[in-house]
Amino acid sequence: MKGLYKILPPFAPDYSGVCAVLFELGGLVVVYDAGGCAFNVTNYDEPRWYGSSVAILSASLREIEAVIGDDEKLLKKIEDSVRILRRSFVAILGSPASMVIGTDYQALADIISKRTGLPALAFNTNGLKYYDQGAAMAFEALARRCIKPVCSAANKLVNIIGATPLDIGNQRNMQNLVEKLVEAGCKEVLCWGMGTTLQEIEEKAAQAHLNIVVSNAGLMAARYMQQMYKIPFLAGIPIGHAPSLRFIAEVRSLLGLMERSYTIESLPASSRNALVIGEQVMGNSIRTCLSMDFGIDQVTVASFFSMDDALTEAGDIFLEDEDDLTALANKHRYNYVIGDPLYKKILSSAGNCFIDFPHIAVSSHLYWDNDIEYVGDGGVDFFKQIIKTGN
Amino acid sequence: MHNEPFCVSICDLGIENFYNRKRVKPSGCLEYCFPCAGGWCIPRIGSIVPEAVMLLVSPAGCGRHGAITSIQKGYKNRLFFLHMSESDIVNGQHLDKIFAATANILAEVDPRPKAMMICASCIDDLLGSDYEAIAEELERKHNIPIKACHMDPIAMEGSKPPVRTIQQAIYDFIPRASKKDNAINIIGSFPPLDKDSEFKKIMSAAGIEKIRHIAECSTLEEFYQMGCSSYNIVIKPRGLMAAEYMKKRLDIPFCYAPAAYSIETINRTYKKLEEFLGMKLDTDRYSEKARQVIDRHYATLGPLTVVVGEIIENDSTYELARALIEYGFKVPYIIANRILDIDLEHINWLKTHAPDIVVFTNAHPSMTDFLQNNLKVDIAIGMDAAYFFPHAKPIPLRLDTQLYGYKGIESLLELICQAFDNPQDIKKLMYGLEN
Repeated sequence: MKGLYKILPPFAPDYSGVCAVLFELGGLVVVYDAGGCAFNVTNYDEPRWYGSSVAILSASLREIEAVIGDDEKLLKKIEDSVRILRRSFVAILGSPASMVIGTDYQALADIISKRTGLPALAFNTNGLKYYDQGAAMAFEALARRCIKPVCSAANKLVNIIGATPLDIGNQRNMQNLVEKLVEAGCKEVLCWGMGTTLQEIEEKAAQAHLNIVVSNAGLMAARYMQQMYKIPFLAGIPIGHAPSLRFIAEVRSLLGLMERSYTIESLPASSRNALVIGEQVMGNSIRTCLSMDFGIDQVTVASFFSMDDALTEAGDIFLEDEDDLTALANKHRYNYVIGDPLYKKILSSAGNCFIDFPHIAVSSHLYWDNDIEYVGDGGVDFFKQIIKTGN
Repeated sequence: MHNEPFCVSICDLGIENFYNRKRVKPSGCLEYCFPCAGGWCIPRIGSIVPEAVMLLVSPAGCGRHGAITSIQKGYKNRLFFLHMSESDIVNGQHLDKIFAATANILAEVDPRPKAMMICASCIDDLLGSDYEAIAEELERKHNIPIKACHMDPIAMEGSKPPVRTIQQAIYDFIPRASKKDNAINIIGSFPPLDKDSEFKKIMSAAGIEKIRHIAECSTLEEFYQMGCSSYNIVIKPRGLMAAEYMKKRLDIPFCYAPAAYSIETINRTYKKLEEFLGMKLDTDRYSEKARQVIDRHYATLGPLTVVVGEIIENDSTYELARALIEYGFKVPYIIANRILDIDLEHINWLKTHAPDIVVFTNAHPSMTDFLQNNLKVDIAIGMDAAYFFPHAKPIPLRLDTQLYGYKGIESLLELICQAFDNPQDIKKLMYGLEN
């Protein structure tokens, strides 16, 4: 039945996606909720929360305030917190409760900005959509509202857009990606949301030669910057050995450091097939690894989250809900299925070889300590434990 | 540079003109959500009903914490989610879909559930949806007991907070019994009383034949037997609404006898139970033994400094602080937000005997930077206290075990000793990653 989830948990919601992008940027992030939504973010969707000083706060909305539409109370609460916490901007996020009373978040943000003198961002989140849409909103807001236009490009500067722990997992993978980019000739890399300050984004991001999009959530921002600042983008993560060589060559080419023509050797195709369930850019990157490093050419990517037409290959599947995954499991047989361990219950009965690839947006803290280093050769080493090369 | 955390003196708590008699945090503040995953959320409390399942009807986001906890705690196979869309909310279709979802679950879950709870969220509170009527209709249709319940933090500070209404919904399954037996129900706690507690021995010696607790019922039929008990003893405040309801509907009188750690408080609790039950309870030797245990442990541990948090199993931070001071320990800090009616007596005692106590709330926005204060004590009791005082030896004292009576004192002191011998990793414990 559509909308009924009997096995899978609800995935990380849109407000968690916004919070993940803003987490390291030093703002006062206010979820206009009764408490449960902010609790979801801090306790279930944000591995960086424990021990941090990050101000993600709940509006602590109560029935009477909702019924009489007492927005002034919220504004006063935010003003007080701005005074106490001294953060550099304010973000206000919607929840199901504030949505149903018809809150105008942008109007609230405008008033907050006037009263506090701080920039204020509004996010029309509602807990009905998933994290990817929230993260996309937040990356786009950074691109549209925060970065300062510049006249010239900086020396081989690259932005990484789309990285949050919800998709990427631990920070080390982004550090490894930065190393790859430096290897390719980049002089400076700004990884939005994981390891870069708001000030760096504001002042330098528009000077980039290239944007690397590591999740679907970064696409809107990258496309805006392509249009606005003529910065090209490359969507993908270099997972595996051959894909990393190709990635470095592509980056060098886009940075003008080498000719466009390059040849990377791949393994010959075998008759094996695989299904990758997950975020689309990650799924595509795993597909490239399976193809180039293991010779598995028939790889389907399926996702419960946004799938962009430009990144979708023939046969890829958008999963609307749990029933779609059950139907997929019943209809097809795969040699390998790669995805969050929580999908296993639905797919293991079909006799597939399931490879655990935890996705925090799905399984929260259940596996977030199971670090996988997948960037570069780490990806080959990881998959090699189960998948043999060639036939 | 960090902000100073909001705090108040114990002497300023509970007075009439205080910001809000029920909260330490001023009401006009945003709320800090301290790390406390893996606790007793509404779906987990509902999962105590044997042979029952729960359908949570909500936006996807609302069910996330409940689902992850259910996977960790092993009851996900009894918890289902019906996600609503924006158009559902506009035209109310999600309410119609509950019927199809219920039929699907009852047809496909093996073995077929014998009871069911339909859980609404904040959004349906605001929409005024009538889940009780839906549950009644479903009950008629499927011929099993089906009850409505609410996971609605938006009602947290009203007269029907979800932590209390869920217990009423749970005990609403119990049918009225035609015949009573000489048994007691323990109401309010999620786990049964600690098996080592003297409570059972004392009651048995006084003639009580059986002590019933929902978590000890493995079948719905066994759970129904709680309707035959002659008395309800409420050991935690969150069970009070359910007990009131059971008194009216099932004709079971109740006595409020909250779990405590102070010998004086426990003595008075047993006296109150004597009056309620109309029978003599022989407690002297247990009381005397508890005094000896305190002396023995104090001689070993010395005048420890302790911070007491709010996320503890007896729900009464101030009572525990009082007890620790009576044992001889020092309590320089308390971390709490809630002030319950039962707390007032202990707050007043603390004002006289420990007026220097500083009370921090676990919810004030300034707690965001609290760790930078680097305050130090020897022991932190409660998950929240342990988080905010990371250098202290942590004693989680979670709601997964229910200490009670004089034996609870001994167990607490043993936990303090263990905390020195074998300190726990509070982060792993919170995220359920300890194994």
